[in-house]
Amino acid sequence: MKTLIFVIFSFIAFNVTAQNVLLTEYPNNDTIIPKKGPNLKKFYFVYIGYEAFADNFSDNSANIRNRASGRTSFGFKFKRKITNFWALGYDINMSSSTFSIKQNSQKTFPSVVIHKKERLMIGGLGVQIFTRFNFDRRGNTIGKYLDIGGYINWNYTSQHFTKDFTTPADSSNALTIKTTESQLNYFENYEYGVKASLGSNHFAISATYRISDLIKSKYVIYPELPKLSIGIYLALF
Amino acid sequence: MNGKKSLVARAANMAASKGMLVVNAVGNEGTNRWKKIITPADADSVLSVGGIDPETYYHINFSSYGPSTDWRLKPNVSAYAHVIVATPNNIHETDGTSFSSPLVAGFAACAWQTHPQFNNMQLFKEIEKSASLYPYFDYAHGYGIPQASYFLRKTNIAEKQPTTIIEVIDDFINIKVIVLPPKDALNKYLYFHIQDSKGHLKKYEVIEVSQYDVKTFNISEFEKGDILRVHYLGSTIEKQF
Repeated sequence: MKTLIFVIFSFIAFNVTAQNVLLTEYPNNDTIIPKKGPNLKKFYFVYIGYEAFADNFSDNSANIRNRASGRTSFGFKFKRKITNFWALGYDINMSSSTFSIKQNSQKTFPSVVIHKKERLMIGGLGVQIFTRFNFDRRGNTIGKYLDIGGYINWNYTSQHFTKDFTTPADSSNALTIKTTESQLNYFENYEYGVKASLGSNHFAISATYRISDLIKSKYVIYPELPKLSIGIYLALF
Repeated sequence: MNGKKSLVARAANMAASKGMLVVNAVGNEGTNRWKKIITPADADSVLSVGGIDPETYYHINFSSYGPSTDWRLKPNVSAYAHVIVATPNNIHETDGTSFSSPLVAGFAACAWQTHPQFNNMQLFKEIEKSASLYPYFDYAHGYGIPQASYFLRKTNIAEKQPTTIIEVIDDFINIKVIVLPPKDALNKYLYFHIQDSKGHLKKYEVIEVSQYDVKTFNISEFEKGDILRVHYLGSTIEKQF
């Protein structure tokens, strides 16, 4: 209680004797020209995206189930504005490409064995360099744009998943057999390609075309996997 | 807000280059998120006018703050921004720096009549020199309120006797002043700013003085080349570090 009385007394005394500051300004704190923003000098953000493989519809020798195959990615994108209508940037991302294999008599890849389910997964770390063309006059927003760039991916992991049942599958004693084979030696460690995105603010439609082969050249009997993928991206900022 | 980009700022500078004295209000953004001056008050040949509260006699809160983005002094001078205006049916109290600007424009016209040999930019500089705080300045008041006496008698209020002491004791710098009796002290404030070696103000304050020791700084707050400038009762003193 004594402490409280002392504090209150001190506070009153302080207000009585102190100078009355009417105006204080720190111009350095509030006159810094902002350099970071969607339409300012520098801008960076993270994004998520999904692309579905969109080729090999007519010649699907790899027997890919297109609807169940695709690439999910998560990345960091940096953009450096050069003019109001032109910017350069880079993108660092992690991606996971999944190829679901149809189980039918035409199947030859990665083996002729028929499973209940089968898929291949490639995990990659990638870098993309792009140039951005904006179409509209705008305030501090991303606006409408076209990105064109090239990418290179390091495929640091690859896995082959299969799922089977002991026969008969509908038996109450049937067991599920799952196998995982890692570091598949028929996949290339690096891939590269070109990428184009058409976007508006947070959303973008993107098309990626892989120029390099994904299957090592010595595995001549294996068909090449789809090269074109089309998808959507969501910028998180 | 660098005074070069907006069309209206370029037009204002063009008018000034033709010989006109362009006077413009800094805007009423002081309490808004923007807070800063608006164009064409950012143009370097425009005499930008900030707002003063006629009751308190210092910066009225809504008057926009300077400087320009390239750190030029704005506003240049100040004038009342709370006025009584006549309408067709009545009179009203109203406010805005739009009222400060014509007050200074009218003042400039009168001042120019007293010295018709001035060109527009000479008049610009003389109006700044005539102002109540000159040579002190800050980004809320500029050089203060232009004084007609400067043009009529050509006396500079900055030549008055010092009323302030900047005292350095050990690691502390004290600002000490003559304290006026309460009846005389009304609306007589102490202004100080800290200017860095590039000429930019790092900090400025307006203080209502009630005691001999107004302000104490630790010397570590200053860097080499900084200037502490204090204005009180019409005189300005400074200390360079």
